[in-house]
Amino acid sequence: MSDVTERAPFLERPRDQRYFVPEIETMPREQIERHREETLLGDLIPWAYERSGLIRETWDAAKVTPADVQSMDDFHEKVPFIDKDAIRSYRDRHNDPYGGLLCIEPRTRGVFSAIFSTSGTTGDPTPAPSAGSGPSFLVREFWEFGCRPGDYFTEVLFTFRGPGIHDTIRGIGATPVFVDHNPAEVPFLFAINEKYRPTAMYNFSLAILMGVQQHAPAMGVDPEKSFASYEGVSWAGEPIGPRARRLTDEWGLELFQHTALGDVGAATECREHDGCHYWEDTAYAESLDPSGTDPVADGTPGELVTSTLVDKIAPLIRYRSDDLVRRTLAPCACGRTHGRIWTLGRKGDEVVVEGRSVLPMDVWHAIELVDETSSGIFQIIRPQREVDVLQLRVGYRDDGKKGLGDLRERVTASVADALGVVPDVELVTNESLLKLGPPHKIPRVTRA
Amino acid sequence: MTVPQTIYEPPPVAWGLGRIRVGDDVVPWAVSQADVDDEAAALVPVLVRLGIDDTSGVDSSAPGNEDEVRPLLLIVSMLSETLHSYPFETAAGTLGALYSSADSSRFDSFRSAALIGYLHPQVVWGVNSAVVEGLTEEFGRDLAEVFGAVTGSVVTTDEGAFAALTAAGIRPWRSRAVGPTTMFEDAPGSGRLTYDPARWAVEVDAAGADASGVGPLLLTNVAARLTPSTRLDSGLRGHVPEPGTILLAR
Repeated sequence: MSDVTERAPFLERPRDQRYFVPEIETMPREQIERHREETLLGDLIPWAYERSGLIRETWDAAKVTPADVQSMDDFHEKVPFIDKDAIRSYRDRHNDPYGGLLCIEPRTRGVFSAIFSTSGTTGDPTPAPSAGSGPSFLVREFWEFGCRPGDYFTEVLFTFRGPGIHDTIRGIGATPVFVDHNPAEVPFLFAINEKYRPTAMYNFSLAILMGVQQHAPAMGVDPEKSFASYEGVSWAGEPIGPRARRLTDEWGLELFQHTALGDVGAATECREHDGCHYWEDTAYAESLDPSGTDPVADGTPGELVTSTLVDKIAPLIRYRSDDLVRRTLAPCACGRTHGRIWTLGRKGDEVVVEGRSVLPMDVWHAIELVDETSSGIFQIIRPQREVDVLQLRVGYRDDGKKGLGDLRERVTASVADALGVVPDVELVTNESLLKLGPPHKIPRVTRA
Repeated sequence: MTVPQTIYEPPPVAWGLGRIRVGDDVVPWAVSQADVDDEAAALVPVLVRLGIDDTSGVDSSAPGNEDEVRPLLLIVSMLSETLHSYPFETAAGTLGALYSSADSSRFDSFRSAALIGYLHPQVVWGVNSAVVEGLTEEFGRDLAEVFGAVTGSVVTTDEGAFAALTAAGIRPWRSRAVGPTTMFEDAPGSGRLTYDPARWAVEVDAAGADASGVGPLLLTNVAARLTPSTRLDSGLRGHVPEPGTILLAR
């Protein structure tokens, strides 16, 4: 079986062309909205209702059928929500590994070739059926990073999401270089950088950053020189902390924040770095009151609720992601017309202590300010949303040379200065927290 | 109104840049699409031997096939092993099988266990010591329980995993990365790795061989490859009783 790119017609673009698919990326808003309405109402909804056990069960319970949804107003008013708990519940009740989402018989060959899985950060991994291969819409982002045909593109990843990124890199005419998402891989990364001069990377993270800090001095490598060939590097898994931003700036890396779009796609910054673009020809993203169903105003915090426009294998429709975002539909200075989001955290991450709302980003910088905890590796202990005391588990650098001294007091004071709330701090080594993985992030909030 | 179809750039000459072991070193290694396709073609009969039925010709819509279950291959590997693991994905597709993926790391071993439990694969390839240690030490899992749910074969990639699974009552197979290709035992636990002499030649480096003829195994490509292998030190020791078979040193 050859890659799908070999069967398709090809187009050699001018290397200085800004957009990979200009007619999509700068599509007028009225065209975006018309496409969404036609695709969602005319295709995805009837398809999913007929075939998806979870969608059918949820809609039947709400006494809604596709015939009741004739407009986007109907959609917003009538279509019920689903979420991760509903998928897991369906999975367990029906002994269905796909959680009632699968719309194609598993025995159907051709369109259904693989079963990938979610990261498992918030619980056990959920199997995700897939077509398995072929470039994704991320070709648009990879082109924006500055990678061009004939270049090498460093893929720093894991395997459970499948080979889509290999094919996407090849879709822009570049060669993927395969590197594990593991700090121990940094020496190999340095060697690749020196010999092949890659121009883009997907993905950098706190774990890789720590690997660079650890290995560069020991190997006599200057990170700025090693990474000099890179035009663009995505940062994924969690927000870029202030210290990570400062270090990567020193190394000359232009980071592009990359985040999930409610399990139906992804969103990535452009060179304006003014929010993460998501592609409205592939997904519909609503921003709703986190504790209700009303839409929030453009640019104000809301819960991201997503519906696919392209996935007919296991479509999500009105999926409450638990992600808190700011969203805007205003055109970007880059000329792209699709929506943008800024990730704020997860709804389930919020802790209210002494009447004050606290999210991981609120304590991040305070922890990074203390030398031994400057890696910014920590967890908020959240047995329930409202707590009497802010409990933090904070990772420290264990150099084996000295004791902890007054570290606990200094971390406590730093967080108290930043929040006005005195935390209860438990110190553990960075390594013991990183083991909680997955490789590109740690669970920032935990029940115990 | 439809969104225009995306037209991609012509694919690069090098399908991907991975790495292989050469002697005691790990070196970058480029392969082409043709290389990947040929490796996949060589794996098809291997997967059949391991228990993946060839269902590519099955008409799933024909009467009587409503309850058909497609075979499933679980590939346990790291991204750095893509040159070796990706051909398994293609070979599974050739046989009409599904595949799924998990990292062959200590941390991600929970995923292998979860996917085996959910998906009941016929074959699991790529179990190594890190996965075994992760399952037993990090997650307290019983190896017999986890891998006992595999209906066909479990294939290990190092001796630590082979020994642990054998001790747990599983009859695992061995496979090894040999340069840019992957070789398998001809039977579980036989110690005899097989390869296709029309694709590869293996010889013992006489300069490093002991009195019994066991020595470093050198690999040369017979079929065309983007990056040629010429008496490449595989990092393995053994001897070659006949073309197509390697007996690994114990």
